[in-house]
Amino acid sequence: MLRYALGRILLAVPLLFGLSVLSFVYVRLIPGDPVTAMLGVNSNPTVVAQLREQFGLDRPLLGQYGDWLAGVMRGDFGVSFRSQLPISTIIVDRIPATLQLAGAGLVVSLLIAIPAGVAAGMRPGSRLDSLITSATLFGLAVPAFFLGTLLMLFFSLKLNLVPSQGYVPFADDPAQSLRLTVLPALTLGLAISPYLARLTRSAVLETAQEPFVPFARAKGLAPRKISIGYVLRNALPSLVAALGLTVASLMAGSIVVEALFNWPGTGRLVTGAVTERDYAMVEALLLIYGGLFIAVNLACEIAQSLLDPRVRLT
Amino acid sequence: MTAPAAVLVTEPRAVGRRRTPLLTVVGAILGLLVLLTIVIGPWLIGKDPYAIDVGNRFAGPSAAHWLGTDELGRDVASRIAHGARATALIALGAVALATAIAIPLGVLTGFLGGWVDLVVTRVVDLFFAIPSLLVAIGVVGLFGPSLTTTILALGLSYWPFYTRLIRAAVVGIRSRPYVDAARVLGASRLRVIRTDILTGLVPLVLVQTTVLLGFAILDEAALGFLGLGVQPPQASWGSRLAESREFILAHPELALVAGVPIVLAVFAMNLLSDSLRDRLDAKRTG
Repeated sequence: MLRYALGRILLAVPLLFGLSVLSFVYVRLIPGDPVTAMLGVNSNPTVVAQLREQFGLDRPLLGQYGDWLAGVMRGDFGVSFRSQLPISTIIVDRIPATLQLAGAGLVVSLLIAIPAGVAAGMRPGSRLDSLITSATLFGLAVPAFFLGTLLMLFFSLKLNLVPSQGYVPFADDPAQSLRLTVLPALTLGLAISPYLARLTRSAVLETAQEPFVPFARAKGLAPRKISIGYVLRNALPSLVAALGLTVASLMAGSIVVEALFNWPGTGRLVTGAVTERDYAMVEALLLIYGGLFIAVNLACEIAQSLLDPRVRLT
Repeated sequence: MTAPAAVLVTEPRAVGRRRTPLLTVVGAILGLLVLLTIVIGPWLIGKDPYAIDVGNRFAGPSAAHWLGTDELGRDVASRIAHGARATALIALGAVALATAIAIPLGVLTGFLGGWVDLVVTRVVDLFFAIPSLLVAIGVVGLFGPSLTTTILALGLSYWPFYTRLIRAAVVGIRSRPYVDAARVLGASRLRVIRTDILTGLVPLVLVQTTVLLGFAILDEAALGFLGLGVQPPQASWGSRLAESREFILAHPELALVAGVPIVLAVFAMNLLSDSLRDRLDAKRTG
């Protein structure tokens, strides 16, 4: 087990290295240079030169990369071109909000997608299956921000059940914080659930073809026991692996949902950094989002091998 | 035609869903509707989507303005119909770009194998590690938001996933007996690629084109919503959403009108790709 996990981690190292090079090169690809791009063409040349020196942009590329990477290893992503504050402080401040939204969204989507996917996958071709499949195809067509707008209009403006926008840290006022989380989490969860339901359906469908299913049926086990105890349990390893890929839609979804609900998470930073041309920030966010995606998928692969030791042999 | 004998034979339960063709019909009708909007919509409505009429802001639907007017008194129906053209152009451009990268790379790596495969696959893995919306946002950051940038951004965010699919399909086709037969008969590599591999990819590419067109419409709208897509006042479905967002509390109907065409167009693409997948059984090659 340890050997398998170590092997997987070693495979991720070159990927992370490549990602760091890519994020670094990205900022240097900008036509002109980041400081001029930020200040505008008509900016004072002395100020530009001063800023370039301050950000180390006038030094050889390899040296810049080495210093930047060494800093990243220590958790230091440099200084935001825009606000002059350390990037790591800005990002760390935003993480709780994003985690709260992503966590709640993931729970909502699992609660919808797993039952729907299992029900559809256990009886392929049934009326329930075609209903769920059509709903999934429709759900995939609804943009997250459009869904969020509808929910906001209905639940907060018409019924006045929950506040429409805003964020309060959970530690400050738990009840209000949760009330404010309802709509964004519902939006994010509903937006992702069609993907998850599809993945669940195909994993369950595949497992349901295994010979142990008719055997369990012949033994006289209750259908519920077969679908949950036998099929879902055996589909779980491939589901966990697929869940890792869903994290990408979770990240993309949270960027949009945070913009819609004015939620001060890292997703807002992404949009803000690009519109404000804060390239040091874009660089850091690319690396963090990509790194997180790699790490989550790594964790999912290891979890998969714990659930199904056969994976380790392939 | 009936086959009574089939009833007596106990067959295993069908693996796929036995689709009611109803969904395909719905998809085709919706798709046709979208196509009509793109082709004759602007002409049919016959209004200038950029004509500002400040005295007539936020007007409800009327004979003069079928879907009312927006925050600048512009005709909403006309903006949607003209926007459909921009959105269609972006979606087609983005899918064409992704396909133009994915097919050569996928065929090269899947067919040749060896170190080319190893190197390219690592690069694909690397780009795959960045969520596609983030890649798109990154490209917009480089070139600044515009229609051309949106095409580039979406095309570049789809190729890693698409290259993976093509490569897997090529590996599958390469090991088929008819490919071996062709090689034994002395066909050159280029000929095998042209006559066996590329033709074998057609079902997969057809299905993926419809799938990606749907994605591209959604992502164009998402970029527009974030203010990183086509820039107002230029009409597109994404920019229409971005504009309506500012008045969402006072005039939610504008956001609804902006969102519905997107939902219908993408739903049509999803239905069509799903029935294409069933019909062509792209899974067998992909």
